[in-house]
Amino acid sequence: MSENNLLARLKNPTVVAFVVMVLAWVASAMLIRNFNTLRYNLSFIHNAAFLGIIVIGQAIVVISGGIDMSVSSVVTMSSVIASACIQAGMGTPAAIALALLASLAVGAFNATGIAWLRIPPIIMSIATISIIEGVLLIATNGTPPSGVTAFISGLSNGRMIWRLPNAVVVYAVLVSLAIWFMMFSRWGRAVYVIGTNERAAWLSGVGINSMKYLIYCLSSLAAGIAGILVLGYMGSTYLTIGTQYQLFSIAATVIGGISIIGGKGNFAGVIAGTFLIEIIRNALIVTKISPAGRELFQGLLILVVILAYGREKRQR
Amino acid sequence: MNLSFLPPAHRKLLSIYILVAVFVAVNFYLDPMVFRSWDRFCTLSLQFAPLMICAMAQAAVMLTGGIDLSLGVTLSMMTAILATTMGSGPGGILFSVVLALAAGVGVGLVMGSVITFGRLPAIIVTLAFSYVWKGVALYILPVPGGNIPTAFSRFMSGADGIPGAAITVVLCLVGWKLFKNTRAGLALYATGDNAKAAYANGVNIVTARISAYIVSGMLMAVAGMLLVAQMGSGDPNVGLPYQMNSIAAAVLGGVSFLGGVGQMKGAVFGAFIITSLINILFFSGISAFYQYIVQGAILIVAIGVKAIGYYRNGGEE
Repeated sequence: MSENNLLARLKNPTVVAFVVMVLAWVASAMLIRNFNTLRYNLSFIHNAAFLGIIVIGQAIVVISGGIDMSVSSVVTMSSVIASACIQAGMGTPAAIALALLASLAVGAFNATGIAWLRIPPIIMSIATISIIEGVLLIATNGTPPSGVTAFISGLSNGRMIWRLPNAVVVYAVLVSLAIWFMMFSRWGRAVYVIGTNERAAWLSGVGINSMKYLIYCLSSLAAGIAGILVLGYMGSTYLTIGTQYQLFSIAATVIGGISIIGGKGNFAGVIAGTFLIEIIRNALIVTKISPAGRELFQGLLILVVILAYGREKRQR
Repeated sequence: MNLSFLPPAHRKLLSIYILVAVFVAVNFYLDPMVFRSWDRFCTLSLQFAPLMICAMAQAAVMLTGGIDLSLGVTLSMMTAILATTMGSGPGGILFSVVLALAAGVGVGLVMGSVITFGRLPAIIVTLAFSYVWKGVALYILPVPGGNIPTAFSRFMSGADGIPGAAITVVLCLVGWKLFKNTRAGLALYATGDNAKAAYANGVNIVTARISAYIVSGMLMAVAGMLLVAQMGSGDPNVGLPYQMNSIAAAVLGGVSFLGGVGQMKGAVFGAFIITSLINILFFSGISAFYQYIVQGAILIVAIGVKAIGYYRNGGEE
């Protein structure tokens, strides 16, 4: 009996994700030069933190049965807004507040289309990408702003605890909050229920529309926070700064054991998914594959992962 | 209003017909030469044609209940294939066209098989494949370029009096009409409408689904041909606006996401309306940056409008 239990535990996608993550980290440390230095690893978790924060939001959306393709644009938008505000002379708090408010607005915009106009989430968020891109192009006239302050830089790069970058601390706090929220709070349970069977959730009295606003706003807010941290890290911004996070946020979510169809998945898996994807991403950079090869690889990666985890029950 | 004098197919498209008439009128107002000059008509038809075929390809997939998110990238890939293999003579053109059609079949076969045998949602699979095909497109043609023989462009744009583009669109519509009435075509509609019932009635839903993707792939090859004729070269990055507009056009034309409902001519008319709208907007002088916002807004409005029908039905699909 206990043997069955162990086997069942091992088949849990989240457990698999953590195991593979450790194995992959060890393998990369052994096989790739410099991947076993403290310096590299600190830089590694620093970058992983950015992706990780975005994945928190994406995972919440995916568990609810949707998908948020617009996270990449929100990252770009948030960093551009913050940067532009500072360049225009506004103080840091105002700049950050404006950037985060704009991110929330995008989330609300997505939720409105999804909840009221019945537009499938993937399509609504793709349309949003286009709109954000257009607005950014018009507002910046094609030239990205370059304002950043010591505070924002410190927010991302400063080291308050030992030598851990602050961005990692932010991530640790956010992911703990998110795990509590999703796994132990009433709203988190509601998200899972919506993802399992929306109609049943509605019939059980879950406020579907307000939950959707919460879900998509959380996702955009997370992306907005990540955008500001990225600005601090890079010192400046450009109009495609967020693009790399789009597919990887989805991949990290699914690899972490969260079902793409929704309603299932141990939320702690996002941690494993994030680090695993970050290892893969770094390995890709080191092996210097061409842009063509990189795109090809990303597509195949997603396919493999969803084939492994995303199947529907046997039904024709 | 009693519309029973119209056959059912046309009755459903009535609102589209009205919209089309409106846009034709506006187009005519802005450009009175369009009906009086054969040349102008031919060039214009080349401009409208690629989205029309893309809308048909998207509709084919939507009829099975899926959405094709790799359409834009497949289009880019087709332009890459065509621009690098057309060479200069008629032999080269023929070879290139056959190669593109074969690629279309291949793309459709692969995606359709993964979706059907893997029992995965079409949206995610096509999303994943959009990166794969993007990689292929970039591999074949890393930067915009390639060569399209002038004879091909001239044929499609009707420079020699024959509106190749318009003929192509009509041929595709006729081809679809023939296909629709075959056993395979009926199987496609049946599978999209209610797969379980179709299965219970002995329809081979596996073949039906995969055939939809193959048809879509072949249509994408045709769309690629029209686009390269217009551009004169290939471009691995050209697809995104077509991606979004193809979905908007199909939905506008009455094709449902849920599958089994919709007609190709609806999708073609939807494409006409969207292309007209974009033309009108730019005729009035908006800067190019606004086109991104317009694309997004069109998609949201096209699908959002269907929500009115949902609420009218008391909240039932």
